[in-house]
Amino acid sequence: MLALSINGRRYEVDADPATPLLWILRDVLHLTGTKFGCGAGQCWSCTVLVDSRARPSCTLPASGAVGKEIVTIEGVAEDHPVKRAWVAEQVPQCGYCQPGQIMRAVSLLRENPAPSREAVRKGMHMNLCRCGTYPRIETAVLRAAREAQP
Amino acid sequence: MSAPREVAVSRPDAALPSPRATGFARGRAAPVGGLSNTWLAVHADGRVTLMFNKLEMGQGTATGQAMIVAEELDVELGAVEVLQADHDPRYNDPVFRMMLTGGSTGIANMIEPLSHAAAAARAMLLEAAARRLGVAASELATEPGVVVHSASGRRIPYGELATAAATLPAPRAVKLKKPELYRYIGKAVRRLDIPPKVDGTAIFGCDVRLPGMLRAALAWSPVYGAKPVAWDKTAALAVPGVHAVLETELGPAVLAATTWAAWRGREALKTRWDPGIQAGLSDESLFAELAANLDKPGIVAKHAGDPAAGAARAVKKVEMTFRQPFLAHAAIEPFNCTIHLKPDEIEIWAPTQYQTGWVDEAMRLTGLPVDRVTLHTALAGGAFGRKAMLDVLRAAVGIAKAQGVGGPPLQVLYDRAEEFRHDFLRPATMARVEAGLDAGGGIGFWRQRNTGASVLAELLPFMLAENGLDFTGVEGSECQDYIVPNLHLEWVRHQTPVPIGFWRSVGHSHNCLVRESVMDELALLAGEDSLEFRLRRLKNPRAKGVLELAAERFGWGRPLPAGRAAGIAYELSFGTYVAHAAEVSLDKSAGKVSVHRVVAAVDCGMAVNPLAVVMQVEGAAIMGLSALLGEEVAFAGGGIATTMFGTAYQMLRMADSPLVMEVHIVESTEACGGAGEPGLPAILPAVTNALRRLTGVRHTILPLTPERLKAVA
Repeated sequence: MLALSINGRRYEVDADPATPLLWILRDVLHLTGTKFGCGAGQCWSCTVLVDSRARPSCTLPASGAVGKEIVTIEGVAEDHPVKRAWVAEQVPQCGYCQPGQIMRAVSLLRENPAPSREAVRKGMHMNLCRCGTYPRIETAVLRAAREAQP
Repeated sequence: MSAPREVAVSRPDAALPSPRATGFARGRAAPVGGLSNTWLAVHADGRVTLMFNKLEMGQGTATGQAMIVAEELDVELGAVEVLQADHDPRYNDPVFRMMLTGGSTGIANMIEPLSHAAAAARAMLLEAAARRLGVAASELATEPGVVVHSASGRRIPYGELATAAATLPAPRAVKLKKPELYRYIGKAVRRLDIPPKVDGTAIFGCDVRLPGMLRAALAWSPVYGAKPVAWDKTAALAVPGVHAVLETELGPAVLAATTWAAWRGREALKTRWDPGIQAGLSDESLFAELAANLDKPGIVAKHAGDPAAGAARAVKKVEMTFRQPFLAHAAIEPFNCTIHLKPDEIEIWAPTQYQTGWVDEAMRLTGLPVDRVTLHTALAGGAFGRKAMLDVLRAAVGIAKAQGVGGPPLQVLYDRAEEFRHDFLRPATMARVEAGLDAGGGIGFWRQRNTGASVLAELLPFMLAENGLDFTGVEGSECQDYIVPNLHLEWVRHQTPVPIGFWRSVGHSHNCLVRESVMDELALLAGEDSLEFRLRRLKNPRAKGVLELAAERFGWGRPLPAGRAAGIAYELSFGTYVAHAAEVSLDKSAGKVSVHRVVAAVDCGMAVNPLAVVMQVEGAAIMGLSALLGEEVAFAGGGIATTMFGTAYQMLRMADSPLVMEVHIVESTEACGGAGEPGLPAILPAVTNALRRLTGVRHTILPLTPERLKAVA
């Protein structure tokens, strides 16, 4: 049994500890907001927060998530500045990579609450978007940073 | 220069709020109760529902269709609820006569039936009100959701009239609203599919979860046409979570509790394959075949005037050969489907662009009649043409049949290597063009031969011409609206086992680069500016209009910072004119192009939701840049060698996307054109034309890898 803490809830999961966290989320717990894209950490569509740091869940064995606080797209509040900015700037097209983009943006702003344009473009670099929403992602992260300031 | 008037597009945060979120697979028939026709219903409780017959893959079509209904029915946009229609021939696209999402037609083909259905419903509500009030319908008017008799001040909500209206005959002819009275069409409206895509609740095909569902993985041939020779069933069954190993017609398959376990089980099979049908197939062999095709006579696609005489008279000539690679769709969501095969029916959930083709194929594979096949359409995490194909359905049904009828539901989701290896690619192409200027500076002749594999042959072979011509091989090469009196155009089909499919903007994705590169070389020969050369030789005012608008907003002709240059290009595709202007620089030592600024102008006729049009053109331009700068599928040993994003298949990432990306829309009341694809083709030549002006080098081989840029710089 693996004891996992996801979005503030404790789960006991009966699974092969080598299973990537992504597949525990999607196929065991049915938290399908986290997406599969490549399985090799190349597209970051599966990004979750592990103790507040963004990382791809497709290459993280479930055993490595034990004792850590995991946050997925479902665990980010509806009124979080990043989610609000994503709607305000009308970012998604197909939308599939966007949970990963949002999770990366949440962690980026935690590390750097007032990023420059360049810092956003570099910070979001690992997250692929095939629809080409990069200009809107950039604008949305900068908006979220602005609106999160007290 | 006088650029056409531009549509003012509000900032997205100031855009009108969207209609209500789309439901998922809410049944086969139109909603019951109140007044309904094929496309919409006005319920007795006042709700309005629209049956959405397309796949939402990022284009925002559902929002546009809801706007059309709200406009002609005269209801608030927020009152319209969009339901995803299951497969049913009654929801066929009236132009395709199929349920098919493709060719950038989700609005263009549907605006007429939806407008008429909504206007007919409104007329019936007016007539029902006239009978109830004992007045002539002509004395009545509507306000959103209400019939109003202004003489008496009486008001009746639509919901109260819906049941009575349903008993009236549908009007034979309806009058549509005048465009100047539009409340929604032409205004920026936020997309209804965005909130669930932001909060994580949107259900894509691979997110479908059914009780008792197992995951299935098929061991496919890694190369074209190979048959499995041996596999290790015991090793696969030893993988935790694996339930069974089955033998299908396509190869061995693994059933498991999770996707991960199914993939691990498939790996453990260590399936051995025979060498397949063309073990020597490689990058070199494929491009050698294409190069050889350029020396063969082709099917004549267009012949006008006297090209030989034109060539003899030409005072300046150019001859160029182009080579463009095979491209993968590389949607981030791999193809997938979920099926439940029962003794006398099959139920399918899939992110498919081609519901009619899927149902026909399911009938063929199972022997079931049409009314025993249910197909629910889920959201697609990117499609770009890939998700029109039938391969994943064949895999899933094959596995379900091997499992035996009556088993649990199955989901097949490709892993990334499978998604690359079994893609139906954008064909690699070569083209040779000879063209020249006559003594008066006109384009005196143009001779072109294109070669590439057929796009239509796999899925839509009935669209091939009688002489075998695949029009997608030459679309755009006929010189569009340029004045070219003496023209000869041929196409040579590349016979190859590589599976070929539709890739965003199809033939335009490679033919535009060829035409607009040659035009730019002719401009140089003529000693003219790129923009002026085009404006003088184009006859269509809409083509000129997008070039003028892009040039004006770009500041064409204004000095640029040192080390930078500008390029411009245009394409007409899917009924829409798009011009791109780009500002670029080149780091010669690194072999790296930077595209600093892209300004696009679009004339898609009437833009139903200009915000959606802007988003599509932004995204298409970035996908075009991605293809130009890095994408190329590699082959080795008889199949596809590319199996991963990153260094193997290089897609544009954020840090390399343009710092400035502007899209301007021409104000127009012309018929709706497409929006999803037309924004892609012209960005490629806009950038290579800029590089030509910057470095003197004409790039004719794609992609523009660092090696290629360094080699010629």
